Amino acid sequence: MKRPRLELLTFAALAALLLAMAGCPAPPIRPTPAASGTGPLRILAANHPLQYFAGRIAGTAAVVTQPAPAGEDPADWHPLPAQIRTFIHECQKADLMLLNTPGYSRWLDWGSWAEARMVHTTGTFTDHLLRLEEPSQAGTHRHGNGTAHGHGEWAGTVWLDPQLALRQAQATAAALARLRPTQAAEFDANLRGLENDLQALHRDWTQLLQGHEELPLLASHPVYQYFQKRYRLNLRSVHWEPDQMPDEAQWAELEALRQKHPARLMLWEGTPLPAVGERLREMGIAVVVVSPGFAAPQKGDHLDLMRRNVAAMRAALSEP
Amino acid sequence: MRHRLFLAWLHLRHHRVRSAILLACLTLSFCLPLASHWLVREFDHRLSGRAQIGRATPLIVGARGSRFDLVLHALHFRPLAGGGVFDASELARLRAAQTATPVPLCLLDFKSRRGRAFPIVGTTLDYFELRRLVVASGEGLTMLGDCVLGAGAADALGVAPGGTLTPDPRSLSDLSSLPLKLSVAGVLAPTRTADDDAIFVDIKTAWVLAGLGHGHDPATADPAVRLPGAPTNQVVFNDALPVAGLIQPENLASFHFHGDLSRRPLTAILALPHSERDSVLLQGDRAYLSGAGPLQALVPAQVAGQMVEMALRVKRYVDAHDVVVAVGTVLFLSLMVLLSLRLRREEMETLFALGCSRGTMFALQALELLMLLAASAALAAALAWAFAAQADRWMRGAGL
Repeated sequence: MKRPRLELLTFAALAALLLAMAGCPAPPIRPTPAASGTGPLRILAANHPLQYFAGRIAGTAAVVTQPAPAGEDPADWHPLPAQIRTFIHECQKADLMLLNTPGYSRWLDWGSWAEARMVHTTGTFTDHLLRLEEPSQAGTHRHGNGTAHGHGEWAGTVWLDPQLALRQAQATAAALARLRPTQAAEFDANLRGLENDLQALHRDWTQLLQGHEELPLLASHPVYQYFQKRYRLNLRSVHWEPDQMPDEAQWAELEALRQKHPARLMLWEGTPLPAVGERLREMGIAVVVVSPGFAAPQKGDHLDLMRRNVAAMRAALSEP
Repeated sequence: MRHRLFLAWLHLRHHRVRSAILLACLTLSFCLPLASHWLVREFDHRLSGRAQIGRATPLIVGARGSRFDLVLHALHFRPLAGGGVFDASELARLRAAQTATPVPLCLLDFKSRRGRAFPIVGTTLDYFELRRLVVASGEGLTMLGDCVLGAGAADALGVAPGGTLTPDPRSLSDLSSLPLKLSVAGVLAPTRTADDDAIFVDIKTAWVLAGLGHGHDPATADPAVRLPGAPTNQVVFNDALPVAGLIQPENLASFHFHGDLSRRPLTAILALPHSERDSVLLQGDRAYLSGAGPLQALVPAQVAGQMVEMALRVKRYVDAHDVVVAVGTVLFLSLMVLLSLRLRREEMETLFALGCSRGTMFALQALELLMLLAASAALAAALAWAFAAQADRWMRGAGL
């Protein structure tokens, strides 16, 4: 009488086995604050201007950082070999990565990223991006004894054109709203405030530079492409650094350039060495610092820096 | 009841051959429809399940051609006839449209020494998140040159995190590809899907494997290849510098791509729209609707549904056949019961004379039949389960 009972047990076990075959889904790889909707978002910006825009738009809803150490140009910076894996792991934890032009952040090619978290802030206006056409600009170069580096295929200082900066800010706001739909209205209001400031900056530049389109200008470094295009400046660049004394070949290159382009104003990313400034003055070239603001300014915020640029340019243009 | 069961069991055991024939006949009758049902359900589950990704209706973008091939390629890593490669510029176009998250796929074929093919899937971290893949050991993709193996691939190739894997460049479509060693970063937990047999790499690593980029190893640089006058601490990157065979943090900075960045190859894009409205907009994109265009966008659930529908049509024929078999079995069973009753008439009369009720005699016959039915059902379920397990291997072997 035990065998029929045994068969029933076998049948029940088989039924249980069949049910187990259905399986159950695995848990997700890692929940993020964005997914759960709690806690501040972690945003990694490719440079300080994007960090500033994201900070203005997100307010307290996000902690925005940028990878390069203070004072370093994020376009040149990359982590040291010993730090690469840790650096990539930290970046992978970000809820959003705000990217500038293609090829701007060199380290981006070195790691694996999630497309859903990357915001290509220039992605909606790629037809407005400017290529680094001159081989000396696109190719790898070095500053003094520094490491050799390039600036990618595209000019990176998009934000120096306030209209394009606004579009970068709009792309950031849209990504934030997608991530936190409940705070979309707050982001939108913050964006409008930033938009007003950027439009005011654009008006200032327009009023200041109107009528100076033919004025020959020099730039110490090829970083003003978008600024030049927006305000139709007659600008030519050399490849100098503020903290380095150009060699005689570079001075000769400048002299040759001035033969064709008799500029009396030279735009600098930062204040040049006193000796450089003196020699330029002897050549009849005035120095005007128009900082691109790659890194966080020591005084005020990014927009304050841009306003100081306007003031510096106004002062330079008003000199006889 | 226990006594009746005992008597029925003894009778079945006494007539072993007859019982065995009946059992086999019933088992096969139950097993065939059960197996075909499970097979189709598994096929449906695999095809439709893989097609359900993202919140809104997803799309698969790929080169124009067979829609079945493209969906099987993007969801199950089946090779595409004729390559089906298109430019990565489509990725930038989708990004600019801001209607979907584009998850790029660039599949390369890797054959191990034993001749078994494992697809090398170049993608982004989005893929792991949308498939909810869990790293069982090691870590996920981190650096260029890393790979993460599906559970089946890791087992078959005998590699673990920390090890290396060298894809055979002869098996890659591009003969200029380099014998780059991949660092095994992690192994995924089994999923019983095509992901188990895949070797996942970052999309950029796939392009390096395809010969579109490479790095140089400064440590192995021959001083003789330095340009005259170049500083001794300065390595000049030229064709004479050895190409790095393993990507490491130390030589990562030397890795670079050649040619137009927008011309890098993709074999499919999983487009995950942000909303249903975005999905509709994307489906109506002129670039995909135009028959003359090089690309098409497919709703994978629809195409998978069409494939399942084809399988269901075949199953309908199998079901019709099963009905005929079932009718034959019932008739055969009835005949067996009638013959059995006739043969057992004397036995029944004896039992009746001993005082056994007609109900008990009927119960004895019915219990015998029920025991046969229960045993055959259990056997059929076991056989169908074994068949389904084998079918699971066949389907995975077929890349489903």
